[in-house]
Amino acid sequence: MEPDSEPATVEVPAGRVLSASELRAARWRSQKLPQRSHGPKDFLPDGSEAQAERLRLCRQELWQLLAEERVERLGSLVAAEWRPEEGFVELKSPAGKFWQTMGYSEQGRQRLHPEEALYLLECGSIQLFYQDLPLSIQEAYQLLLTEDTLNFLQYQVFSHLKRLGYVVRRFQPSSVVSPYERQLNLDGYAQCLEDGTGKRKRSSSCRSVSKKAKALQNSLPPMSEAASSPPACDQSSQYSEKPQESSPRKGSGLSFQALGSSEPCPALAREDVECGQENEKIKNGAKGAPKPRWNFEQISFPNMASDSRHTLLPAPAPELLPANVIGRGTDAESWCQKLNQRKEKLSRRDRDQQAEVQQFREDVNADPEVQGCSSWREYKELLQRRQLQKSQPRPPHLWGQSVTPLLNPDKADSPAAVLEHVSVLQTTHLADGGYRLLEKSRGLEISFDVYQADAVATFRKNNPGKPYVRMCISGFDEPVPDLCSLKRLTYQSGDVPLIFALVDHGDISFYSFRDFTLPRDLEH
Amino acid sequence: MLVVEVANGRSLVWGAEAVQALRERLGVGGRTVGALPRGPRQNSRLGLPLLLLPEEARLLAEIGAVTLVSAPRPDPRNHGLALASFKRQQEQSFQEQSTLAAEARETRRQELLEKIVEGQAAKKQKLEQDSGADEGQEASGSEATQGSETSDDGQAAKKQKLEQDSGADEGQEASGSKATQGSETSDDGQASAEQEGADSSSPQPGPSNGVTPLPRSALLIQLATARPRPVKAKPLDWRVQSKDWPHAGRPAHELRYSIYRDLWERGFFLSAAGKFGGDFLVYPGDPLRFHAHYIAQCWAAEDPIPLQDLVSAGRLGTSVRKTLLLCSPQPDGKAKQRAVRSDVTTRRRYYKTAVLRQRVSLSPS
Repeated sequence: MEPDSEPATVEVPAGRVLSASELRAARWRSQKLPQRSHGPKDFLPDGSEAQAERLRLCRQELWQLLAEERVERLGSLVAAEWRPEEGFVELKSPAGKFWQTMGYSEQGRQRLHPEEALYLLECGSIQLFYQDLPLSIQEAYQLLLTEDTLNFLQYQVFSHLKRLGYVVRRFQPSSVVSPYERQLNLDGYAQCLEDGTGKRKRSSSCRSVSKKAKALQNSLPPMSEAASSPPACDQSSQYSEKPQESSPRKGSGLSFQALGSSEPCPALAREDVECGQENEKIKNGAKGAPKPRWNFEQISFPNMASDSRHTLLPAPAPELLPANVIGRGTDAESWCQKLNQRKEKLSRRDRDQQAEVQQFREDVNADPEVQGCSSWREYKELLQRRQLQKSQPRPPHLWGQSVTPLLNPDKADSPAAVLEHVSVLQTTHLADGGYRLLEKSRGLEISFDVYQADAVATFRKNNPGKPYVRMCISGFDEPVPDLCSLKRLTYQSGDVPLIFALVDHGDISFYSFRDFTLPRDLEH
Repeated sequence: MLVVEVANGRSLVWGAEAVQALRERLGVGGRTVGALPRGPRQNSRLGLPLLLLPEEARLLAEIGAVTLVSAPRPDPRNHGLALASFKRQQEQSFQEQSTLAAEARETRRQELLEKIVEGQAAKKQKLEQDSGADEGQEASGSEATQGSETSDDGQAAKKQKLEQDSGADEGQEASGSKATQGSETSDDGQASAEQEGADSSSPQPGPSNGVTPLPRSALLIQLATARPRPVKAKPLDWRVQSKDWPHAGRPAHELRYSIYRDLWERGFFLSAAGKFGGDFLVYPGDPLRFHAHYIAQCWAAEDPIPLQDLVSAGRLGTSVRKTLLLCSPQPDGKAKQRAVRSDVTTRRRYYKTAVLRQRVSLSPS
């Protein structure tokens, strides 16, 4: 702390304090906002009386508007206290209508973030106290907008969006659902479980999804260790005749984390109980720390499909389970038998469609030569022979020179393949490779999640859903974000569009980057 | 002498009179960035605080119109005093408001007294003509209200008006918080409401002539915009770089400041122009009544201007109907401006650069 070289000598005059009669008179103030410039603007000042008069009128209205103070009834104000060491504002009396979209509950108390509290103070909904003294707006700006909490630019954008009517909340990285998870309808599943605590949901989607979840839970092995798959293989080789195929990772990418016991539920009657149990686990998992992104190329899952049934699953390693949960090995054979193996009855139209598509497909197994192979090795030899046969009749005048044709006739099966060979530019998306950049040093960060204004009536703070956009805030004098930051931020944002709000001395402009794919030949 | 507090390089003005003085006398506008008390949930007009550009703050300090101070932190030593004085002031205000409210109620009642009497007489006449129908109501009404003559249905409207007019007084103060009395007195013009109104607000001259205490929840509070008590602050030297004023010595700031000062001395009004791809918007007069004519871009004297930047800035200026002004300081300290105008015709587009007396070095990037 620098020494006080200059003593505090300048007297800063106090702001206006209204008397009782002025307070009462304030109730009869007009609520209409006058026009900013009465009528179309003039081109040049010409010193005329008319111009001067119009300017005087505009200015007078402006001073009148700025000089008005906020006057509220004590009964309609919610008392709140600023806690600087914890960095939040705690409500001392019950919250009003704003509680629907702002604030959070913790330990039974209602709390607000500093930016929300400041916005509500400016609106005249709360009275903010600090050490029992009510804060003026000037003091609140000074105390609540520090480097630790929120800077001035971020507050400007926040209040701008709130005044427009949007619901603005702080960015929660844990709420980001990756496109893959969304494809699996995982966000809908988590919501479904949260809604039906302990109750059995009749909706078919929940039912079918919960079955899938149980199957995958049963098959959840020790995760992401390449070393663990050989031991699993060894165990499995005792039980199954066919060698284990390398993992089909079909749809097993549920990031449930170490959800504990892989208890089978053979009886369907117990499904509702299971549903209830998973309920808490899912809820705790979903609300917990941000889900790590798993690298599915390194995780192997056992194949439980009908072609090479591998249903004997070992117990998971105890260090991966929570303390009070015991895992045990299981045989999911009985469960697999319950899978619906009946042939699907297609409608006539579906059958026709399938037949049409089938016409153009060649079934490898229908080839008699392939049927003659009895092992993989023989099949591979067959393929190699065929390859040699194809490549032998190559006209030397084409292939013997230094400049050879781009494609082999057998390789060019569609215009799309040809185009790929020829293309110089490759399509890339802004979020590609963003995964590796997450650990890079931080610069620009995502500040807010913004939800649309018309969703206010149905907005639930516990389950806000997918935001409309996400905001990054910067000033005009800061450099344009580089590609590294852009990729990182876009990846962090998931599938929600990202908008950059640039603030230039009170003026806010919004910019965004759009991913754009060049059109290409669709026949593939 | 006006005082402007500076924190983290940002200068905010919190007093409306100061804003007025700066704009009217000195031609420095700034931009309002806070919520307007009259309409805090709209964006078209904003209120205090006023944000000044760093160049504006420095100019005002240089010409001596304003003292820049570092924003003072609240002093814990003064806290006890401040708290005591606040409580005193609150109590005093409460007392005064109660008195004023009672006086207002009384005057209003006196004003309407004659009308009440008139209306009552007329009603009695009317009742004598048609009998029976409203006898019951009249009787119950007169029983219910004691002392106040507004017992009849016919006067219910008058009473309603009385309640409504002083509704801001009584409706709020008497009914206090919404939980206490379910019906607003203005909604319910029946005898029950009159009774409640009579009991709680006591407009009668007879039973109560003192001050009925105002419910605490009806007390009007001012949410102060600026700090309501004076405080001492340290003056800020804009020549020296510090935490609160990081601009001193920075070449970008010095460049912009020299241009700003030059244009201000010529009588123009300036504001920020980030949205328009420039440094300043130049108005011939107050922005309330005049459109901006120029977008000023500041370039250091030796900086080459990339041709693409020039073209894009020129096109932007054309599309928003402003002329691009390239400004740079000369070695002798004055600033030089050159206008780049692009004319657009409906059928063809061609670009015309104004003939420059000095050669501007253009290098394609």
